[in-house]
Amino acid sequence: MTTKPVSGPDTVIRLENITKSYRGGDSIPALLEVCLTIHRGEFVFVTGASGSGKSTLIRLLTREIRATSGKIMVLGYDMQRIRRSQIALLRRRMGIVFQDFRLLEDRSLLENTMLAMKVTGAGSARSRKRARDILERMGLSGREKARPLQLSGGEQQKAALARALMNSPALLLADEPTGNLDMDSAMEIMDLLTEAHRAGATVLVVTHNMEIVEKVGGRLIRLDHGRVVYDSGPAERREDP
Amino acid sequence: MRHAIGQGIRGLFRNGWYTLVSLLTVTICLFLSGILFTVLADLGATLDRAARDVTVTVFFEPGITEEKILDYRAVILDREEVRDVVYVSAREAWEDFGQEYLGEYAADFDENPLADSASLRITMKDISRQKDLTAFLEKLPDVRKVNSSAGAARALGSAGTVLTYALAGTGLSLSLISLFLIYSTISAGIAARQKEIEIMKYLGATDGYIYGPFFAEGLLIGLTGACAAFFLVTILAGRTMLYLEESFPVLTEVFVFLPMGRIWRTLGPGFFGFGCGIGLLGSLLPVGRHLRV
Ligand SMILES: Nc1ncnc2c1ncn2[C@@H]1O[C@H](COP(=O)(O)OP(=O)(O)O)[C@@H](O)[C@H]1O
Ligand SMILES: [Mg+2]
Repeated sequence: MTTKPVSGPDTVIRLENITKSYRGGDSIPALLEVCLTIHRGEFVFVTGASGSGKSTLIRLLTREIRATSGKIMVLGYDMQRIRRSQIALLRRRMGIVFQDFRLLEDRSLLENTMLAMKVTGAGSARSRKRARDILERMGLSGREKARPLQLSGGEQQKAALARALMNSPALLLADEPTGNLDMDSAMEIMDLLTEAHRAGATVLVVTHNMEIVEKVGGRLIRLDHGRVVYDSGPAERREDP
Repeated sequence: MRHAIGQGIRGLFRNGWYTLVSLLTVTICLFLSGILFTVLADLGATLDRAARDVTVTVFFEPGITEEKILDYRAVILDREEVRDVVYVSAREAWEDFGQEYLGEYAADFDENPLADSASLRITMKDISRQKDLTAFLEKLPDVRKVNSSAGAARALGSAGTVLTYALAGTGLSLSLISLFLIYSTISAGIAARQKEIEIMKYLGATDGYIYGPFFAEGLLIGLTGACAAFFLVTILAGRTMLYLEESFPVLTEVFVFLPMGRIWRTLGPGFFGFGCGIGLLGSLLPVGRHLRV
């Protein structure tokens, strides 16, 4: 079984008539016949009310779950036919920032960050150096030894982002990365995301904070009850001032 | 690979009591099997030697010629369970008897009271077939009487059979217990690290990277258990034998104690194979179950 890219090399994400129903499909679908194309270098916001299917979209892209029907291509892989061993390779090219951070509570901030590179088979020394660099850029240099629970919400969010950036991802996915943060902390996170975007990553951010969308700009997609009800379109991308 | 072994060793300590219990079980399992095997091997050697001492004696009708008896000897020698047949003339029989039971009084007899007691003394390769041989001998013409030690042969033979079954039974049940404990240890380890495994998967860790350490851990439990059992059996069995040989020298006349080196030639690879096998299987099963979900 092969998963050869169908769309061009510039297509990072492509959904064709994607429907996702949880629990075998008796319930109302979380996503319904969604079509979507995201090109390399785009900065995309996905917004919508709670339960509209935003996290489901992210979970489909990371292959945490499979679509009920339709076709998804991510970074050239057909997500319905991808092999188990290829999922690991795909995820190494993605940075994922989870809504609940998913940091290991019994490891230090440095160890948590290093883990992203170590699982790819990189040595400890190299991983440590890279993690220190990234943590420094995030302004977390002094907190390397701290455990996640000793960090503030904003610091934990930054830690999750630092880990996601370890392998210089081609695609960065963030599910409500500013969810529980005040505006200042939220903007700090957004600045780091735009920095990663400028460094070459395609970025997809889920948020329901329209103020941030206004400030940062970029493509906006709105979901409602599992359908795409608004898409500002791929071409419209405002540059940062 | 280095990652798997390093994490595997760390896993041994992380699981603490679980690891210790399964390690001890593997050790005890192999230790008991090892002791049983040693006893069995010694018993086998003892039976082998005993088989040489257990004889069947055939007495012939009075007046039979020596040539005739020697003809029978050739016939009996042809049978495959027979090791050797010795012709004992009447005179030899009387001398033996006299020396053993009469001592100096033997000289008081003028005539040989055992004049008609020429016999064939048969030693066997396989004493379990003594009954067949006896039946065959009793049907021969000219045979007056067959003396055999059927009881002793049967007792020795069945002791060996019982011990073989004991070894197989004990080994099997202890193996299953060992397997179960390693399985539980590895399952508990996977369960305890569920969150970490989940996260590593999202960071792009391969199954090998995630589950390699659990194989290493199972393998280490199996091999460490095998090594511990190796030393225990060597020390204990070796010491016991030495003690028995020194304190009860008469035992060495009855029992054959094989040197430990010879026993280890069989037991060593067996322990090693068992340790590896049970360690791999004990971790393969929970990992496989985990991968299928
Ligand atoms: N694991 C699940 N099992 C069943 N239903 C789910 C599951 N996850 C989400 N849903 C349902 O799917 C819909 C979309 O959920 P989600 O994608 O999490 O929305 P959002 O992230 O936009 O709040 C919701 O109705 C939710 O209840
Ligand atoms: Mg959500």
